[in-house]
Amino acid sequence: MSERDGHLDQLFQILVGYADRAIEEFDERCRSWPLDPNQNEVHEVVGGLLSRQTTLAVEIAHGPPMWTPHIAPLLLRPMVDLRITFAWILQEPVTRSRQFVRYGLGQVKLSMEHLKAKLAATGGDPESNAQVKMLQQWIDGQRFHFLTEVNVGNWAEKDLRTMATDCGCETLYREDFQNWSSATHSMWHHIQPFSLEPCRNPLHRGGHRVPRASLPFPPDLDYPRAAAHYLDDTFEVFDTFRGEKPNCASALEWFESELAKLGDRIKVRPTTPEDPPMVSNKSPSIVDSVRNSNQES
Amino acid sequence: MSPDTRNHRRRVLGDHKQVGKKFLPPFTAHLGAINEVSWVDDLLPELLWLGMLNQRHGLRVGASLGSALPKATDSVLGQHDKWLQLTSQYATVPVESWARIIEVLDPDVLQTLRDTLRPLVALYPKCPLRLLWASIPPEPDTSDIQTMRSAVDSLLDRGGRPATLAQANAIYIMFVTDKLQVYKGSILEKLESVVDYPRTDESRMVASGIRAAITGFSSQQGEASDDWTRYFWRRGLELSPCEFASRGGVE
Repeated sequence: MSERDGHLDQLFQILVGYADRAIEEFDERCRSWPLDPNQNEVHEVVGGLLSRQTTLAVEIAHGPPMWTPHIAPLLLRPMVDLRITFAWILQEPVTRSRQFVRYGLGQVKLSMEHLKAKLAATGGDPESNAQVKMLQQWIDGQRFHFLTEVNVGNWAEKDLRTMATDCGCETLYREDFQNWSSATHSMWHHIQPFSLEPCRNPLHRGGHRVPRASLPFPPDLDYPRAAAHYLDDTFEVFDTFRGEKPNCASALEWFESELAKLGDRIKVRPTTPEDPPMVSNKSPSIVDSVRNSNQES
Repeated sequence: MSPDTRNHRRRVLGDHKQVGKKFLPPFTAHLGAINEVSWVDDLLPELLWLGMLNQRHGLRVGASLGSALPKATDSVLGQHDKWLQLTSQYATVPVESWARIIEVLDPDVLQTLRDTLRPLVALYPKCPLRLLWASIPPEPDTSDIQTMRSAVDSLLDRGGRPATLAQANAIYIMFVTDKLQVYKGSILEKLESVVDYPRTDESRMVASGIRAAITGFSSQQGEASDDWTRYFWRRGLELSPCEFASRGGVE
């Protein structure tokens, strides 16, 4: 095995190790959180959100091809969204968990009604349609659909920025959420740097930009690191809510420590945990260094 | 939080004016919408000829050559309202006047102008300066593309020395053709200081005044200017292919 392959292998072992530890952290929290049947909604909503956050962080860690400015922001923005939503719900868990569930039921009811109208308009029988039946059963299993209201506004009846302010996450919203939003909504400040390539011919207006599909960007380790930080943050919010620390080591601390050791071995250090990942796509990443280490050595 | 801390906290966009959900910068909040002039799009093609003269002959000779054509044109046209530092303005000089302009120019100066500006006119045959060759337009040479690339490239940075000196030449032409007079104490009275740009404070202040003046004088040159600048950049696309870093060069 070449030195380069050796470094890559070590990196992938770190990623797998991180994913295993993240799931272990999640499982440990679930184990130590006994179900209160009177607060089942809280358990399902809070636990479900924590599960999704863990899943996203783990999937990102497992998928280096996703560590590009084209894809990673699409996964990181929901993680920030979830982190804010999670903290906001935990301020009034019973009321807000119920509000969260009912909004979701209303959204499915609205979809079902659109489907029924479409079927009726094309001569079909909405009541005998299998998909309609399935959706109705899904709603009725939680709350009778004829009691379910549809809210076409924000589920929390306030926007995410206000929710972030309510639970002390203004900076997270202002910096991280806005940063990933440009990619999610395909805005100019994402399109210009990542979907257009500058022409360097001075006779062409001194540099127009040409649309390019799949402009190659090297995988950037700062993306899974950002995901790991968001998950760890979410765990912390949960621990504060529960008032206890889990009986297991921090996956994030292990991840950062192993990356730093690998960085030392190949002479490149990632940014420190105190210096949050910039994810600017411009900084040299460990993955690049690993790839280049063979040539340098 | 102590009062001191509060006083030192900077409010984000604190100097902007909020109108609904928009924050207007102080400049537009006070003055309203303005016609923006783009250096690259609108001005560079107009002043390129001055940049080429400077690039080839240095600032002193370049300025002298650059003012020779406007002065000759002035003497032939008599009273007129053209700003002859701009390439596009030569498209509005009556065709029948060009023979006389060529005659008025010193033969050595004419030859030097032709030698220096030949790549521009050869590669951009609709350039308004083409009539400097009377009825026989110059032929392109193999090295012309490189000459033009170098000339344009050197002027892309408006605050760079070559672009600043080309703009200074334009102001100089306005002075010598009596198109510009400045009040006593104006920074443009010290135009000569620009030779030191960007090494001295005074040269940087003069350069700033030059840029402001050029933008003001050049923002409403109308159809002739549009024709030339649009043609210039369209023609550039025909002359040579795009170049990309990611594909290792040209395509």
